[in-house]
Amino acid sequence: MNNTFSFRRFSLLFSKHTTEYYKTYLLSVIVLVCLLTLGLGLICYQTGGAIVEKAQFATFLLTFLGAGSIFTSMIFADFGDKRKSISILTLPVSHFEKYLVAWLYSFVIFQVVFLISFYSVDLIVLLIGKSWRDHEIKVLNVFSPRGEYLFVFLFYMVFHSLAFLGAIFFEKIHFIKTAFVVFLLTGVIVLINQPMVSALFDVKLEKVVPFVSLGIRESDRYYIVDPLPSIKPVMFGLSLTIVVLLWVGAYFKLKEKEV
Amino acid sequence: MIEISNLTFGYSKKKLLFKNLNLKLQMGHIYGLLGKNGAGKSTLLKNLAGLVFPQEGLCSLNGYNSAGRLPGFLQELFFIPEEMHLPSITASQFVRSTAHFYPKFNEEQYYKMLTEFDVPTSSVLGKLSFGQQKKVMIAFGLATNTSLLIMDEPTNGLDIPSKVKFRKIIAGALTDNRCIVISTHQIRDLDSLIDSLLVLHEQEIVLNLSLEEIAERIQFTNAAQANKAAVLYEESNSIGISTISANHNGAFSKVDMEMLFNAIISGHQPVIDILK
Repeated sequence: MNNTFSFRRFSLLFSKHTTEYYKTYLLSVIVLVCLLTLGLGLICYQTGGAIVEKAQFATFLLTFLGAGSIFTSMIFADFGDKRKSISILTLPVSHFEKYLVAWLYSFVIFQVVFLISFYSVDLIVLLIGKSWRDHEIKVLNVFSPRGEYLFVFLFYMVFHSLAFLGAIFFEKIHFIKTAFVVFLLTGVIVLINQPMVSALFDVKLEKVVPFVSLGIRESDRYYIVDPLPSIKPVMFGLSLTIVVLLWVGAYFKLKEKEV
Repeated sequence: MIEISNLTFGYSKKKLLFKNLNLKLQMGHIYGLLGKNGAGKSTLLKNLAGLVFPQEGLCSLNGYNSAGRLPGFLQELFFIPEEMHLPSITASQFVRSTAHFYPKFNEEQYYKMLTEFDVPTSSVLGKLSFGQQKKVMIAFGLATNTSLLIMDEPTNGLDIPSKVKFRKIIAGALTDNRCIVISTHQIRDLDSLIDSLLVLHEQEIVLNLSLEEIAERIQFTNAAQANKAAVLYEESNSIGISTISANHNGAFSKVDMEMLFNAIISGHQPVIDILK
């Protein structure tokens, strides 16, 4: 018997989870669709029927990261309830299988459902706008060949990994507690970054954004120091490493969960 | 076989519930676990089920360490907690979604027990009363046919007719390949049900004997029948004075679990010593 992973056990667990939670998930999708309709509908109304690509993307970005983080924060909520956690922890499946079901729902399935929901609402709102005042419509393509929007998926990975670890780490009010810790860490990084950069550059610093850029004023001239393009793969690799570390951390936290 | 070796556990390192606790449970027995409030009965059961991790020592079932919570271990264990959660699906849907995880699950047995307990199979479990939910879990737990079935306060929430049915059903579900551990503070509920008694007191198991072995060593009689020289403990009640005395003449008497429990937790060392 394979005590780490069995496809049969995993599919049975996936099916059990779906049977028990599909109503909650369907309700969540309806709420998401309503939110998107409200956001895109308001923009459409205010802009006289036309929604520019940037406005569509802004709505996409905010709802994607916001809804994704909230949904992921609640994926392990049952572990915070003593009665529910006993039945989950004693169910004869491995920790990895339990982890994988939660990961699939919050990372893969959420993104697919979100993309379907967003494009359905976006298209309907744009078509309504076109019928209202006839003008050309342009649908946002987050997968455009130029790749200018693809960073949103990397952002989602980072947000997901943070929310995923927070979901299993905290027993209650997971989203609020995770957000608090993230803001606290961000504040610490900003506070540490400023004196570190000041020590490195013997100039007057105007603006210091961690991991992004540096603004320097010298005489009457203002310089912006951006990272070299060649550093981008390193930054990408670093982000991925952090994401994977947080995911692995969540797995071990699940493994050592007690009632 | 279920074995607890040198178990040390406490919710904080300063205040331990168990220290170097050892216990062996055999298949084919129904154990009644007794202890005062806060003695750690539920915690001991959680240790056995791998729901909490010991600071030292281990609990094992068929060679699996419970703290590992591996599927091979979990499919041989079913834990019915005092307070439970059941999903918002029917008893039939629950079987379809959960029974596959237990290789020895007997669906026919499950429905038969639900019928005996008068639980409708088409009702949504989450909307059933606490007592009805408990009956569903008891029926499901018994139908899994796992090697170890742990029940924490199973009779809480059951009405009197259901308690009678519970005793009948449990007695009928015991096999040579199965061990049932029932923890309760309602000792009378275990009457005519358990065959072995475990008493947890002051961080250790002070008694782990079958009722037969207890009856061989001590005798439960009233004061008039007792051999005064052999009396180890006495307790007055509404019908007079009841005694526990050393059984030197091999006479048989029914074990009064409540009196025995009172004798142990009130620190009557002669009673504990004779049973060791």
